Amino acid sequence: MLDYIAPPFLALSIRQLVEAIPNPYQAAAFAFILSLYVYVVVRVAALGYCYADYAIATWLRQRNGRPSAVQYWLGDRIEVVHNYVALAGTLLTLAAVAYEVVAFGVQPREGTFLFQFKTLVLDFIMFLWKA
Amino acid sequence: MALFEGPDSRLPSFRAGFVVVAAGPKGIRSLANGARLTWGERVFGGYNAFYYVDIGVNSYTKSIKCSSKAIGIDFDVVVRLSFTVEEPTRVVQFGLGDPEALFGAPVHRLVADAVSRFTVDQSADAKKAVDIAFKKLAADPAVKVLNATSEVKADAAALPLLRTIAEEGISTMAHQATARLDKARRDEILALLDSPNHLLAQSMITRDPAFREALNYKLTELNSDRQRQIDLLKMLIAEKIIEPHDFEGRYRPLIEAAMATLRGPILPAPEPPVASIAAPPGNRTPD
Repeated sequence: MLDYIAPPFLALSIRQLVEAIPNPYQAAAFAFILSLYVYVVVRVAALGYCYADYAIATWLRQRNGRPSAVQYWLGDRIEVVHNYVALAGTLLTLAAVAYEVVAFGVQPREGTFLFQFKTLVLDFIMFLWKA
Repeated sequence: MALFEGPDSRLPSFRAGFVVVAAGPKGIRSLANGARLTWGERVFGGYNAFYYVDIGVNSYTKSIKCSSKAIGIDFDVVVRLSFTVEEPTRVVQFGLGDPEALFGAPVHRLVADAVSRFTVDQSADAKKAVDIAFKKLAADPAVKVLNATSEVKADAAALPLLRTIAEEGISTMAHQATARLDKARRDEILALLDSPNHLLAQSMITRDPAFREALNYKLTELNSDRQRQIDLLKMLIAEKIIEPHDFEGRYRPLIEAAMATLRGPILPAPEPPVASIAAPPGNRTPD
C-alpha cells in the first residue's frame, strides 16, 4: 500500500527509517509515520481544493453570479475529511501499540483470541508495508 | 437599528429580517436571501468580521425641546421616524448601527429651524412646518426614511408663564375699560349739564340722589333766568320799546328759550320698600 500512496523515494525513506528502529517498536513507528504522512497529504490536498473553491467563487461573484450548490456541498464535505484521517491514523497507531504489547509481552498461545488479534494486526501492517 | 456582530464565519444562512454582512481587509460582502460563503471564501476571503444587519422597519423616537419665537417659551416636539436599511454593506462600513448618531443632529437642527418662526399659540402651523422640513431630512444613503411624524406642543413649563401673561393682560384691559367708562360718564354728565332738555329727560329716569341734587340746582338757575327774561320782556313792552306783534317776527328765539325752561323742579325719588332688602329668615342673627 505504501508504494501506491507515496512516491518511490518517499516510500523507500519511510522503510529505511522504520527498519532503523529496534524491533519491538517498529510496528507502532510505522503506523504513526504512515498516519502522519497521510494526514499531511490530505490536509495539503484539501487546502489546494479550498483555494480553488475560493478562486471559482470569487470569479463567479465578480460576474454577479453565485457558487453552485454542488460547490457548497463539496466544500462542506472536504472541509472535515482531515478529521476522519486523523482519527483513522490514531486508531491504527493504537492498534500497532496493542499488537506489540501482545506479540512481545503477552506472547499468547496459538488458537487464543489474542493470538488471532496479533495475527490480524500484523497482516494489516504487512499489507500496508509491502503491497 | 440593529447591527449585531456574528460569532464566526459559520453564520446561519438565514435569519428573518436580517442580512449577513461579511467584512474583512479584502472587502465587504452582503449575503442576502439566505446566501452564505463557500469554504474557500471563508478560509481565503479574508473576512474576519460578520454582522447581522436589521433590514426590517425600524423606528426612532426623539423628544426635542427647542425655543419658539417668543424668548423663554419653548416647544416640546416629539419626532417619530420609521426607516429601513437599503445598503447593509454601507451600514457596516460606516458603523451606522446607532440611530441616535445617525438621526439625532439632523433631526434636531431641522425641528429647531422649523419651529423657531412660530409662537406657541401657532402649534398647528409649527407642526406643519416640521412635517415639511422632514422632506429635506438627509441622513445617509444607506438608510431610507419611510415615514416621519411629529407632535408639537407648548412646553409644560411655559404654560404657567403664559397664563400669568394672559392674566396681566386681562387686568390691564379691565383697567383701561374702567378708565374709558369713567371718562365717558364724566363727558356725559358735563354734556347733560349744558343741555336743559337732555337734563330734564335724564332727571326723570335717574335715581341717583347726588345727581338729582345737581339737576335741581341747574333747573333752579334756569328758572331764575326765565323770570329775568319775563321781567325784561314786560319792561320792554311797558316802555313801548317793542310791540306785541314784533314778538313773532323779531324775538322768536327769545320766546322759545323762555318756553323751553317752563318746567317745574324735580322731586326726590321715592325710597325703596324696606321689606325687599330685609335679610332672609335663615341668616337672621338673634337679638
